[in-house]
Amino acid sequence: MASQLRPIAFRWHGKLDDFITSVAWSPDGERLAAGSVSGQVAIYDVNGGRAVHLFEQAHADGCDAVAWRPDGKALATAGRDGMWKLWDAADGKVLAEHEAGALWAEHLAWSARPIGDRGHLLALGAGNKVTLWTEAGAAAGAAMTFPRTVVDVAWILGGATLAAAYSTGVSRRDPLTGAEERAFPARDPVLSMAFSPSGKWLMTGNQDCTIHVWNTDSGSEMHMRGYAAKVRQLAWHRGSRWLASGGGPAVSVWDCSGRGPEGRMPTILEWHTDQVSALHYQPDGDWLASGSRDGGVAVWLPTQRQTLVTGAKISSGVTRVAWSPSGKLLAATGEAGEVQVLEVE
Amino acid sequence: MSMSNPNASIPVTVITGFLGAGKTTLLNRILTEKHGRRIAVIENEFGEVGVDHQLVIQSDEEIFELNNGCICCRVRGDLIRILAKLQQRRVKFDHVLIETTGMADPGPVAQTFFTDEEVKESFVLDGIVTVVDAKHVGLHWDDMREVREQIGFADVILLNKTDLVPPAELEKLEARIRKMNPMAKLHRTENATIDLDKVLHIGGFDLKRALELEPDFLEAAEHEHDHDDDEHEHGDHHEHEADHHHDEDVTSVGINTPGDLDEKKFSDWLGTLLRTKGQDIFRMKGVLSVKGRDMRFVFQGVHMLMEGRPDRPWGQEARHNTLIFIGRNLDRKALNEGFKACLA
Repeated sequence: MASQLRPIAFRWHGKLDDFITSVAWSPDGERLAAGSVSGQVAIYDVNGGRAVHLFEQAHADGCDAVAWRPDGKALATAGRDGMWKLWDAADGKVLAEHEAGALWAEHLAWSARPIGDRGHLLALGAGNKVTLWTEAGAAAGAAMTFPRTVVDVAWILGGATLAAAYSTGVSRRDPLTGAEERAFPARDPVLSMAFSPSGKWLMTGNQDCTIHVWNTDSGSEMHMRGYAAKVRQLAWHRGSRWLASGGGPAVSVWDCSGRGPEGRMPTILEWHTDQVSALHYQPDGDWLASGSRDGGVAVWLPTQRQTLVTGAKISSGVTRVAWSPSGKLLAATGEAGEVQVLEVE
Repeated sequence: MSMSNPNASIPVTVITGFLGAGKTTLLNRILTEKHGRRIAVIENEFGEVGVDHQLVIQSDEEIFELNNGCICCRVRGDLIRILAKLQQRRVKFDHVLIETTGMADPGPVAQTFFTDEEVKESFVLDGIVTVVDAKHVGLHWDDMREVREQIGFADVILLNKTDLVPPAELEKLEARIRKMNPMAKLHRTENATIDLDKVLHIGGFDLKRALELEPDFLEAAEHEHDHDDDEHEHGDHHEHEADHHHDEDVTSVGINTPGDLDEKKFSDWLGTLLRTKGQDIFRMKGVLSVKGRDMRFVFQGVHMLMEGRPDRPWGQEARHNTLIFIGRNLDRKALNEGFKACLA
């Protein structure tokens, strides 16, 4: 079987001081940004891997999120100093910096589309609040408050509707008014959330080693048990048919076509020897990348029930995997600060 | 069965106490002292730790039930999330302090450290420190279940603000606290002034130190026992006269009996006890003499979670059984009789 694996080319690597919490490709795929719990943020040139900028103390006590403004000219970062900052990607200067309103600023997401006449908006999750910010880094509207600490933030339904997850549920909000459009109360403590690109399915990964599923069309819910560990990693295939999940050393891929995953068995992808810690589907393709605490990075083609496409190791546990926008390059980051950029040949 | 990982490196101290008792004063005292330790503080949403150069994070008390909704499976989801992020650092913290709200139940906090696999990998619960406001506790503890629970769960109790209370009153407070929890080390403090080594690295859940208790703890428990026998003869009258308060719901039962235990009988008895009364048992610790075993058997537990193992040979020491239960509405007579029925 090993002989059938596709070869992997290690294109280049970078190194930060400590555990990499966040990584993001610029929209044109020319830059890769990474943030670390050491507080460092680096912006790498995809051609050769030179660090174009290295912000040594972007956030005291650690950086938790990096997110490219959709024009690719600025990078938003947030961290455990309770701040969020907007950096000019060309000259490295700080364009804006604001207190997030909580001791940790943990989640960042830019809307995929302009919101009304306000341009693209940045959603910032900190404590039990989500605030919105303009492309210039100015406050846009009042803070939205949630019943508990926000654990995940995303733009859904084509990128113009906001969703936030907190431990006791998920809330869909109108970003212009902050009004709740729909609430999804959860019995289980939520860790992560993933709306299918179609918007039909909402999955939450939970602390009690389960996944909860809402069919937002019919309103029906189901609950998937049997995971070996907490489910922090959820990744949708672009076609909204396949949902990949972590929650143990195996990756489980659920078929959500038709009536959904109920009564079906997931495809189980086994190669990792320790907990799966990162998952990402190609934005424009069918390959699924997974990373594990054992340092393994694997690429799968689960849509055709094929097994492993390829696998490799980095030196410490994998913290994030991220396909470049074209799906050609894969970035994998590590607990010791490694930034590896690979290409499957 | 093992509740905790002996290799886990980062000790965690939980600071509880009613609003205004002096929790934040104690926290700030620990943080400002020149001890060279790198400390992370998880404070409740109303906390106001004002010390620079230390990592402070606020949390809301998110309690969830792990599976069947039993009290013993209640853990703190917010702590699990925060601790997972703290352990990402290569240079770990030397210590984590958790300040709870005045109304917090210490049970889910403690259980988090014994049930969550990821938390157990990196963190070990070192102790529960309860700060008691000597001046005002009398106003709260009859009405506030939480005050009594926090005392019952404690490894260390700081009877704080002693400067505001006459000595005779302090003696009475101390006696009442001792009745509820004779296992905890009790210190009288003003402005929460205390040597750090009395509140940090105390090994409150460490089996090796399972019976490093106050030398008089069994005496206190035994005394309580005698007192209780007294009550059987005279009803409630005696207690009311002495203390002018209601019967304590949080109390302790100490058992100190020579002889060897029948392993099977004891295991069955304890299993049934925890299954049926685990909700009411806050803490338990003990050293047991098991028939046919050369080693002492030590155990400790929180609610239904229990861990135990052989400790060291009895050697020349007289074999005996020493254990203590602290909890709510404990049936002293049934516990004593049940235990004695397990003797071989």
